[in-house]
Amino acid sequence: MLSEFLGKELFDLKNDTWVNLALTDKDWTYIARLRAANGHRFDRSYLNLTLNYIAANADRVRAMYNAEAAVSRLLLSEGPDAADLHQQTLDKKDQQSLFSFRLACALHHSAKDELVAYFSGIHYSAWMRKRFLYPFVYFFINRPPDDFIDHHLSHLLPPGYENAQERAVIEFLLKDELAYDASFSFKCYVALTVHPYDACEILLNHCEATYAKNGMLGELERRAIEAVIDVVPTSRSELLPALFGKENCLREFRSDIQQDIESCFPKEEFGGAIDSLLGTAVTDGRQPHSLNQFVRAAAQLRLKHYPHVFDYEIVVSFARAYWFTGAGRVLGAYLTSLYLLPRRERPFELRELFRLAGFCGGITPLVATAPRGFQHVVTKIPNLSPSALTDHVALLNSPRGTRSDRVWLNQVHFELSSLEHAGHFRPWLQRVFESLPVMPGYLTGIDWSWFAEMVRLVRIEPFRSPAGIYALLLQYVEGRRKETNTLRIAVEPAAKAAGGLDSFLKWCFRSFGDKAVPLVRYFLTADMLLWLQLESNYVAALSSRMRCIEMCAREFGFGPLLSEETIVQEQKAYTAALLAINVGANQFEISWDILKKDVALAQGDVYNAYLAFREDDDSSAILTLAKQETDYYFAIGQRARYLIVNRDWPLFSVIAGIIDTFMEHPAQGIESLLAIRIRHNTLRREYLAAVAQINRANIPNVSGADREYIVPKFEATVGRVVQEWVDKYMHQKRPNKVHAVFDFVPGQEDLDGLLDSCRNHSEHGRTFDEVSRWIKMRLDAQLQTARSLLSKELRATLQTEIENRIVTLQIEEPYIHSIREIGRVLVAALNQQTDKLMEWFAMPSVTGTNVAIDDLHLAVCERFQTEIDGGTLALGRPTGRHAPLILKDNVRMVYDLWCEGVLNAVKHSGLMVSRVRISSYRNSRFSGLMISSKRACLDKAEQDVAGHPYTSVHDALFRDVESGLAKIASLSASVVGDAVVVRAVKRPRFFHLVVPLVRLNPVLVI
Amino acid sequence: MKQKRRVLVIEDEDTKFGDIESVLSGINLASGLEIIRARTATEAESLIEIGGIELMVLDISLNISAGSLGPLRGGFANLGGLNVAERMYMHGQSLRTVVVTGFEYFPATAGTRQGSFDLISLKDIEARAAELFGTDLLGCVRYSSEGWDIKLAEYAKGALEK
Repeated sequence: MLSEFLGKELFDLKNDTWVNLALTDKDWTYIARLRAANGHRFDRSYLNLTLNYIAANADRVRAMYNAEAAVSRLLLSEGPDAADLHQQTLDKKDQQSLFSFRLACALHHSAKDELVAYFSGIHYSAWMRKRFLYPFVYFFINRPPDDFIDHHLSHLLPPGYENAQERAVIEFLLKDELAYDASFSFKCYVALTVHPYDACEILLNHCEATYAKNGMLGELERRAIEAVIDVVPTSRSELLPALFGKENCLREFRSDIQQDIESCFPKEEFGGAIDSLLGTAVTDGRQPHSLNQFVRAAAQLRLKHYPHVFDYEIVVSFARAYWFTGAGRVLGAYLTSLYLLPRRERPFELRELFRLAGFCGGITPLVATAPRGFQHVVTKIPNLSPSALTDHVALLNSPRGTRSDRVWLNQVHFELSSLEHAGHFRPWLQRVFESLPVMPGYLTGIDWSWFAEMVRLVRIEPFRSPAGIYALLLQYVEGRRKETNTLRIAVEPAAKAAGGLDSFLKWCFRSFGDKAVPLVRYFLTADMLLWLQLESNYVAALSSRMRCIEMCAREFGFGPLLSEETIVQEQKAYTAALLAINVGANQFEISWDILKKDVALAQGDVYNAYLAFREDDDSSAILTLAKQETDYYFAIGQRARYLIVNRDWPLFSVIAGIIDTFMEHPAQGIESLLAIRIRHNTLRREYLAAVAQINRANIPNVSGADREYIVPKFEATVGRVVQEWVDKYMHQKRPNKVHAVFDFVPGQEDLDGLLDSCRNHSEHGRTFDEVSRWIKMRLDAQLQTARSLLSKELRATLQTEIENRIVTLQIEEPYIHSIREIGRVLVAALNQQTDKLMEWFAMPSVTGTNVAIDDLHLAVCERFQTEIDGGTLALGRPTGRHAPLILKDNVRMVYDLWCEGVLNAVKHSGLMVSRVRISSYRNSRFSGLMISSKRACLDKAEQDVAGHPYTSVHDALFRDVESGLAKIASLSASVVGDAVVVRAVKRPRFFHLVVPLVRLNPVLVI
Repeated sequence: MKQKRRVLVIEDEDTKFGDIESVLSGINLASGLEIIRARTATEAESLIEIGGIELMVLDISLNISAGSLGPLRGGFANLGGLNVAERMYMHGQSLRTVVVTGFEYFPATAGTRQGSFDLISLKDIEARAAELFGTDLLGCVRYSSEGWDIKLAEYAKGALEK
């Protein structure tokens, strides 16, 4: 260490001249060296410099630690306003500390004027003003979760940012405690450029992270801690030696101090617990109702079996905003200990565990049952067996499932950890099955990374039990994963053994009890029914999916996982799917509502931050008008260079995010539409279908034999030409697709226009509308280009290539004289097809309100495809001149009653092949359908079945369960919107059902 | 007489299947070649289950099961080929495989970062396939790219001549 004199001379913060983060270009070279793989060579020397820096400014460090403790106390007692007043009393130099900056941002995140005023009064370096302040403030206002910082920075620091060192420093300064892998010398170098208090915190964070990562501390870290304690023997630094070295409380189970979890977080005196955790008298022993909202909400988290989301959000938001204070740290550790945060990687959770142990004064039951608690206690405490630990943890004495507070989950996880530790995976699965319900929106606390590793190791065998299937279901629901393949593979044997959907459902109900409800709702989709081979085609699977949901409701009644509202949503989705199957040839029909919803979900944070930052006063000190020219990489990899002022970057991120989503949304994005609806052999298939049609047609003066021989010889030519056209044009423009028709990357002028039009909106929805308007205009123009290319270029190329093929065929097949005639007919057919396919590229218009009976007929044919292919059912095309148009809202019901009519016909036909024919009818009151079928019997009878509209979801589910005819009558009444009579007529060998669908000429009552 | 070597081609597009079939048929093998085709993902899984196959040519985007709707409407899996591969992995089934796909980018339906959607490139597919097949993955070929047929023939020949 330097002498006191030298230390003062070299490191003392000079009044009026010292500025925080005075980084210049020469620093990046040094930093690059320290960040390199061998940067640890410099650890010792840079640590020495840092310790000298801290020692030379010990008074400032002590003052700041006192300030930090006071702020923590005030935050948990009086609230943020009191903490704000305290901050204003800080020394000018201390106001340049990162702590002070962070606190200002946390306190004023929603009051931009005060924030601007605060930063206007601070002295800071040129680098800080130009490069750091903006992302820093943005970050603290927006408060992204830790694992989103990188993603978040990409919105702020334009992609392609050249100075990696600069970005590393910015990322480190935003939240240095996350830098597990950065070298010690790099951290020390940065520490030398910030306030000595921040330097101390950087060292302490580094020591915690090192211990959490490696399970031990090196000599340098120990030295750092001891040196810091010499300067500041208070608060946080005092906890560290207890954790790492001298007292080593992490090597001792403190059952003598804390007998059960209540004494750590008492139900009635939560404030007192905070006192003890912070080692300060912040709440003066007051009752919870007199505490501030953060502490009250934190107490509620502990008391409720499933905490209220409002309390949760208050506490999480507090912990995220004030993570750099003792108050934030204690609540962060507390949230982690109660499994209220998503599970994280081992070092992070261990660090939270050490902090918790520090706050609690040792290994208490809460610590032992927190994430990673069991493993740490078992491995670190000598002579303590898991069973002995279990005995010590008094909370486990309460019988399973009897706790009404949040600790029930700690109890479950303690047992799960014990099974995990013993390598008992099947009992682990069983315990999960018994203990953890599916509760969307709540975490189970399972470490899914560990679970995924187990799946990789043990593969599918252990998951083939209900318990295994259930664990995979939990993973799927909690992770909001869109793929369920592992779950599907686990369920497959049961589905195969069941042999049919009804038996499979019975098996689910029997094996899972009411847990079958989430299994059916979340897992048993139409696609999954196909994968499990429980249905043979998509339309049948759609119907069956709806039936499964309804059967669940009948079996278990309505509940939080399956409410009447859920059924209505399912019915809407079912209707939409039916409509998508048949209606409209337009391939670019995009559901903007879905895009809007998904964009809002993805961008909510970015947009809110943008709003918080929007500044009308262009002279604002924070939001500079400096322009940056930089590259942006759009989702499809296309790069564009833009010149944007600093303050417009957040809005640009929002706009670019909307465009990116439009480009790559898996269902509604342009790339998905192009890939699936156009490129995936689809267009080619349509043209080849036209060729195949010619092969079946009678061509005058051409023999059938010649036709069948020659037509297939054109297939390859047609296929190749269409494919080349598709490959060339049906893409989004990017470097290797220069001729692509679709291009949604805005130019600078477009972007300026978008920024101007979006700048005045205060709702994300309005911004989306502006951007989507621009996209639609562009899409319209590009579709017009596509139509033109199809109509002119593809048509012409096909004609030319077929002409060439005719010539070669005439040489290859000199004895066939009808080649030219066949080619001519083929060209005509392809031209016709081109005309039809122009509709594919029509701009989506406002969709119609009605659906034709012919469209529904196609859906019904699909539904019974297996029976039709198997030759047991024949469905004739609808006939009649009075076919009613069906309102889109009624499509599902008409489809259902139609299918029910077909099933009824099949059931009563008594014939090997059931033949069903649909005709439309019209009388003075109704138009509707007549479902006619052949049957074996010769008797005659007529029956009128009265139907009344369904009055509720419950009514629709539970009425008419037994009778198909009654169901048809009720559905018919629901479509008509009034009571109806369905007439069933038996005639020798025939059966007819007369089903009204549309009321005609309503009588006006005057 | 030597038994024919059996190759399973999982491919829903007729033209593409035809092209792959002619590439495979062009391979000169003493034992001869029997090409079996699966048009859908579920059909493929059933054939793999039966066994007796020495090489698999796998498409990525597949119809899940039979049906005339095709990819326009439903029952279609963008990454269905990977689902088949994952099922084999989970069952510990191994089979030398060449991935042949016509796509450059696939709309992802799984495991993307929160609140965003990613397109998966052919490289990503190759990486995922390598994880699942290990050394059984002979290579990935982009159908109709330059020399795709030569690559496929090389991979197949190398595998079948062993």
